[in-house]
Amino acid sequence: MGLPGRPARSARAQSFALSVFEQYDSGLQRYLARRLRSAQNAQDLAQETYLRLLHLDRGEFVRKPQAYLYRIASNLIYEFQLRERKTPVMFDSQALEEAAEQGIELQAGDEPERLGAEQQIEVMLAGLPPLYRAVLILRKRDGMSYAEIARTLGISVHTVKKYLARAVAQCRSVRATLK
Amino acid sequence: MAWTRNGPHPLAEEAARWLIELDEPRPEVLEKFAAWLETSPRHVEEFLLASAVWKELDDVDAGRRMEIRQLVDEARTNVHRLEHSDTTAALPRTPPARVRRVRLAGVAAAIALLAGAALWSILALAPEEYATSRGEQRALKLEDGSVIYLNTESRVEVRFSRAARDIRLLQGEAMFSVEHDPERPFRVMSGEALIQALGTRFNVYKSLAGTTVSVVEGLVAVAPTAATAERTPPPGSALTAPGGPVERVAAGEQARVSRTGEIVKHDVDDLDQIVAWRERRLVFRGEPLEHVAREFNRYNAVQIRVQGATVRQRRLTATFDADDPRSLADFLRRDTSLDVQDDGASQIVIRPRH
Repeated sequence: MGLPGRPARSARAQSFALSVFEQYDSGLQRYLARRLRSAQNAQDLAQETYLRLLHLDRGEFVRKPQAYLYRIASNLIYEFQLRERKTPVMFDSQALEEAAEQGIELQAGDEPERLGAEQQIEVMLAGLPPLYRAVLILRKRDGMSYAEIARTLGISVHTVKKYLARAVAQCRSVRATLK
Repeated sequence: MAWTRNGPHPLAEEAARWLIELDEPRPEVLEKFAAWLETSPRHVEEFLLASAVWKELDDVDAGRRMEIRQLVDEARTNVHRLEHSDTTAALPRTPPARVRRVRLAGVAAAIALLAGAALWSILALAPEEYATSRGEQRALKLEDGSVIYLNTESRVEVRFSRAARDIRLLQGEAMFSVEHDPERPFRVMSGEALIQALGTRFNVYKSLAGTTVSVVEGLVAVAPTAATAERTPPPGSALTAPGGPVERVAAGEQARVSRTGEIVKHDVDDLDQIVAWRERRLVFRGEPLEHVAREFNRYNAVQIRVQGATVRQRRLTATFDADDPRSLADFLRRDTSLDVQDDGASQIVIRPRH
């Protein structure tokens, strides 16, 4: 998937655990978090990512679907940003981040100050039922496995996963409304 | 109302489930996940958005101010039977908490709880009605965890008993996200159609022509009720319709039940189109203008009228914001063969230009 100007990522054998997202591009996360409000951009990105996924060698894709997804999306964001700036950018992660910032500012115009990251999390959590919050905290803050959370709260692993998924879905909806 | 636009979209929930599954991955889910991603760009989009949120939540309670014990207690004292308002505040059921309460509080509490349970089952027999006005949408969280999303100008009656969960769609359109419970069938009656969910998500639209059932996920059984004059089947009875056929409708399929009880089944080209109303989008794929106008009119005080047989039959493929009928007017103005009159208040008239 080598794209011009982008150093090839080493094909390290890696798990699909938490780290996969960071591994690809922290720019991806920031980009998406901001673009949650800009449905059109998120859709464009998804559309392009989707088309590229379809052209992947299926065997490889099946082995690492999540990692591929993030990598393709990261590459695309990089391309989008190049397009937006219309001037070539030398690749380095700092420049990429700045490009992302500027791209957003151009889009968003003079908006009132955004919430800080911490406040944003608080707003997202506020709408969640207490047990969803508990499960989320045990996972994210205390780093417990699903089985450990289940034991701690006296619920099943299935329920743990269900609460986490609902928490994420609800946070995502709330997140989309945040300024 | 903020939440009508922002309650979790069914796909957002699906994406979140995958995300959680992959956070502690088992090799056998990877292939299924890949297949899911390949199904639609919407899946890709929702998964990326869920990932971004999940990453943001890394810093949850970094200050360590929250006590798990306190959250659990809070959950315990907050068990509601039915959420009348929004799903975003919906509480999970907490059976372990209930059990523990009985054990701790002893016999007196147990008796009180039994009395409560008896009262609960009596209350459960009384049907409750929920309705939306024009342009309004609403999500109802039921005590079993199932959710009813009510579209504009719609009305449902909910009757839960120990043996069955019965819903009657009296008017309009609703989507049902059903929690599986083999002991208590989840049934929806809509005019001429009787629909039994087998743990699933589906949309029911009651119009003048009949009822349309579209299945987003899982499987439902559909039978006509014309013969039984819309009589509620006795609780616990299997889905039966004397003399009528029972159709099984799977994900991606749609069944239309006519007023006379005939069922026609076919594939849905685009499931997104079926669920789009929850985002207040109207999606048309080659639908006649007459139908497009009718859909807009369900949501808005401004009414669109289409005049002239050929204009009414003009087919349109487009996506609109349901709350913005003037976007349709603007779109049609580009067609010089049409005359679009907007009185600026309550009516938009579309007719052929002479």
